[in-house]
Order: sequence, then structure tokens, then C-alpha cells
Amino acid sequence: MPNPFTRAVFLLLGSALALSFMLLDVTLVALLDQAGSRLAWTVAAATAIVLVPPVLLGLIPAVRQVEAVAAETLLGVDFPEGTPGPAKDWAQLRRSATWFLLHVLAGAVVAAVVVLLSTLTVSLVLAPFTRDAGDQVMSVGWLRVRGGWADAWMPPAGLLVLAVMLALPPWLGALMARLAPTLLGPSYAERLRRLEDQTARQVERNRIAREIHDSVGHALSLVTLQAAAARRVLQRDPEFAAGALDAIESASRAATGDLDHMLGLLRDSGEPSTETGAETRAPTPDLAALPALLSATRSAGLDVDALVDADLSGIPLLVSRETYRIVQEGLTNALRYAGTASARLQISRPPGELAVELTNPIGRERGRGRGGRGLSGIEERAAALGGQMTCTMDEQTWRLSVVLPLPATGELSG
Amino acid sequence: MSEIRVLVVDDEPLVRSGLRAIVDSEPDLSIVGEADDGAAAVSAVRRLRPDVVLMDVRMPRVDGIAATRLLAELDGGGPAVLVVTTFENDDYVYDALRAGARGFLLKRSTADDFVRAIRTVHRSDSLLFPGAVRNLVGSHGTVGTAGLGYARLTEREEEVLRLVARGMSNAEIAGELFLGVETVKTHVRNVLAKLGVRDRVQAVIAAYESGFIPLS
Repeated sequence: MPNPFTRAVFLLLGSALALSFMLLDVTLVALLDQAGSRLAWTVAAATAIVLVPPVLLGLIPAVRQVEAVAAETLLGVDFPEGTPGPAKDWAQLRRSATWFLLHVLAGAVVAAVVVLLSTLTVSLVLAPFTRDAGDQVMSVGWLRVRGGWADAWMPPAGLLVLAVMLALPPWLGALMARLAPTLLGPSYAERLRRLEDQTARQVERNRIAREIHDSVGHALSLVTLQAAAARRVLQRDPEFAAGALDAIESASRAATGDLDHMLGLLRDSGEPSTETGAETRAPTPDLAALPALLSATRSAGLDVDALVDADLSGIPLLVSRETYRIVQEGLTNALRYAGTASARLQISRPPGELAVELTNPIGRERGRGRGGRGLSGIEERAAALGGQMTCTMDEQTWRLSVVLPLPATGELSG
Repeated sequence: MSEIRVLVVDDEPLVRSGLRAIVDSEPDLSIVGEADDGAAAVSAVRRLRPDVVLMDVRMPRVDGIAATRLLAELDGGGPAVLVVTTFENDDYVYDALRAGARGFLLKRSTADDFVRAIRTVHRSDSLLFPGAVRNLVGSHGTVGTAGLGYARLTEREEEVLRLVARGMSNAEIAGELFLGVETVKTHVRNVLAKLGVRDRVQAVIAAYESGFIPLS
């Protein structure tokens, strides 16, 4: 809702900026003048002095955001795509600098007009009563008091000037408000790009929704149907009921995995960086990708001795993925901080658990390895799955150990 | 009343085994065979002569819609096809109804729903889920305003058609209109003949699509 008062405040901000620049200008021009430079030089220098600082200031990227917020709150401008942020490219900088210059200019105009016209108003209104015939009004050559009724037009004219003065800020404010979307908002190309991004995201989301619909919906129907049938024949055909429970279990487990994967895709595609679409579309790696991780680590210079004495296939997908991440972060840590060239990874499955142990000899830079992002990340992942991370260090060895509980069904199938 | 013979058609063995267990648990129903796609379904129908076919829609090779169409063209009208689908708003469900299916049912229905639906489509004297048929026409059909003028239905027949669309059985219509059941049957038969359709579902779809019965 445009509010003339706040719009005036916006212009007064411009006035304040203009006045501060003017102070600078006046000082510099006075200095030039004293130095006795020629008029042409003084004019050129003054022009540069007047224009350069506001333009330079306007070219600060953050100015776009500051001005956009001011335009929103004071001018009542509505940016449909949200408040514009700091300028990100040259085109935006150019437009926001133009806007800033206009803001200062409008402020200067308002300040000048207010000072000049308010004086003129007072002079005109008072002149017939306070001046003698023949006096000039405001040192204007042709504007003289004549005396008597001949000056009767002056007070109304003064009021007219006042009206003009009062009308100017709202009018200028409206003008600025109309210019704001063009100069501060996203350009046509930006809007188009944003729209294309949005559409691409929407298409991707719809695709995932359809996938969930198909795979999870199908699985749930199957589960419902098998359960209904099993209940129906429970007494008469317990064998069928047992088979149905088996089918229900594996269909639900597979569906949960699918759901986990697809919700992960949804979360990823919700993030702003959609350019790495190929990466986000790749499934989250799990322990099946362990050999690839180990060979990548080895080629990065860490000689990993891996001992996996457990069947990793029956592990729930979520645990498998998190374990992969834990191993990845542990190896990265070893590579980064241990200062050694070897590590030993052991993965085992004691009853009801999955245990990961990573050891490496302590290198020269001992003491630096504690804490760090990798370890807290591992701790968080382990805790999220109800597991525990322990971290010990003796004279020669640094030992990271993670134990994750496995669901009872995992034991059955594993 | 003799036993209702049912054929199950679905590419998913678990769906077939579930439906088999449910159907076989009823004394008056029995599964006479299974098929895993539309083509196998048509040959199984020729061989086994089932009364009702529980038909999945999405199947490899020949899908449920094509199979339903083929079954409708069989001599003697073929068996009553009950489409069993995963999703209610499946685009194919409407196509299947237009192709001649007597009704449709969601895979997540209860065992009782399955049993009741099989009996209903077998009796074929009332519409299964009249509301759902209306919604399907609304969301998938092309609704015109021409009406059924071409069919030259009598006032009584129009009245009967409206009640058929509400899912009433012949006996219920007879009660509503103070007529004998046999008279109602004759009216229904005349309506089907005049509209050139093979069953009540088709008649009701025609009634909605022509605008004879407004959807709203």
C-alpha cells in the first residue's frame, strides 16, 4: 500500500546522501578554485567529483539489496519473486547503480525544491505586509512589491508554490516506485531462467512422485492384499498365511528402501544447486560400493588393508548407506590428519550389530587428529542410528570404532 | 445357485496368490485358473469358460484394456470383467470400463469387497460403485450436451436409466417405480438395445457422456 509519508522518507534518505556527497563536492571544488585552476578544468573536475562517488558507491553489490529493502518497505514496491539480493553480475550492478544515482538525484531535487520553494512561499505570503513598495522579493529582479492591491496575488501565489512543493515528493516517490521493479528486480532473462529452473524442478519432482506412486503404491497394495488373504485363511491354511507374511515382509522392506531413496532424491532436488543433476540422480552409495571407495582411497595415497568378514548384503539400506558414509569419512580423516600412509579397516557382524573399526599408526603430527568435522559427522550418523562411536589413541595407534545396532529382521535374512 | 468360476489375471504372482486365497475361501466362488498377461487371459477364457475375470490393467505384452476388449468381442458376450487396479485415478481404468469391463476394484480393497464385487458383476443386475463411475466420466470422459435423443427412449426407460446410474438393482428399481421385476428387466433390456451397448456400465457411461444425466 503506497504511503506518501514513507515515500517522502525514502526521498529524504536520498537527500541525506545527496547532501553528504555535496559537502564533499563543495570542499573539493573550493580547493580547486583556490589552487587557481582554469574554469574548464574546474567544471570537468567538479562533474567528476559530483558523479564518481555515487556511482562507485552504487556499484557495491550489497547496495542492490539495501535499496530493494528500502523500496519494499518505504516505497511500497512489491517484488513478486522475493526481495532481490546483492547484485551478482555486471548487468545487475549497472542497473542498481543507475537506481542508486536516481535515488540520490531525486533526493537532491527534493532537498533543493523544499529549501527554495518553502522560502519562496514564506516570502510571497508575507511580502505585501512586510515590504515597502519597490522592494525585491527574494532578490528576483522583476519580482517587486508595488504596494496596495497590486500585490494581492502574492499570498495566493505563495500558497500555490507551497502546493507544488508538497505535491513533488509523492509524485517523485511514485515515479521511483514505478522504476524500482525494472532497475532492482530481476531482468526478463533472469525471470525466464528462474522460470525454467522452476519448471525443471517441477518436472523432476513429478517424476519422483510418479515413481513413488508406482513403486511404493504397488508394494503397499500387494501387502494389503496378501494380509487380507492371510487373515481370511489363517485357520484353514496356515502355510499360506506364513508365506503371505514372508511376502509382506520382503515387499515392505523393498518399498521402504525405495521410499528412502526417492525421498532422498526429493530432498536433494529441493536444494538450490540443481546443476549437478547427474550427481543427485545417482543413487546414494551403500556398502555395495565399498570396493570402489577403497580403491579410490588407495589411489589417493592411503594404503588401506580391508578385512570384511561379514555378509553385508542383508543389511538394511539405510544402515548400509550410513555405514558407507562413516567409512568414507573415517578414511578421509585418516588420509588428512594421520600423516601416515596406511590404515586398517575391519567390518564385522557380531549378533545384532554391525561393527566398523578403523585403525592407523600415529604419524608425526600426533595430537592434531582429535575432533574435526569428520569425527563429529561420524558421531552424529552413528547416534542417529542408535549406535555408538568410540575413539581411542595409544602410543602407536589411533583407533576409530563404530557399532551400529541391526534390526532383528536383518539377522534373520542375513 | 451354482458356483461362480473366476479367472485371475495379473503379472504379479503375489497378487494372484492373494486373490486366489480370498476367492477360494468362499464356498460359492472358485478360482478356475490364472494368467499372467492379456493374451494368456483370452486363451484361458476360451478354454476354461469362467464367469468372472479379475483383470489387472498394467501388464506386459497384452495389457488389461486390450484383453477386456478382446473378451467383449467373444461369442456369447464373454465373461464379466472386473478390473483390479492399484490406483483409483488410473487413466486406464476408464479406458477399461469403456472397453467393456463391468466394474473396477482397488487392490487395497478388503477381502469382503472383493467377494461382494465378484458376486455383483456376476449377477450383472446392478452397477458396482456408481459414484466412482460418475467420477471417472467426469475426470476422463468427454461430456457433451447432445443427450440421448437419437435413442428415442420412452419416458419410463429414461426413468429406469437414471435409477440404473444410481446403482440400483432391478428389484430396487421395481420397488421405486412400483413395477414388476420382469417389467424392469424388459425396460433395461430395451435401454441397452436402443443405446447399442452391452451392459449397464456402458449405458450409464453413455448417459453421462451424452449429458443426458448431468455430472454435477
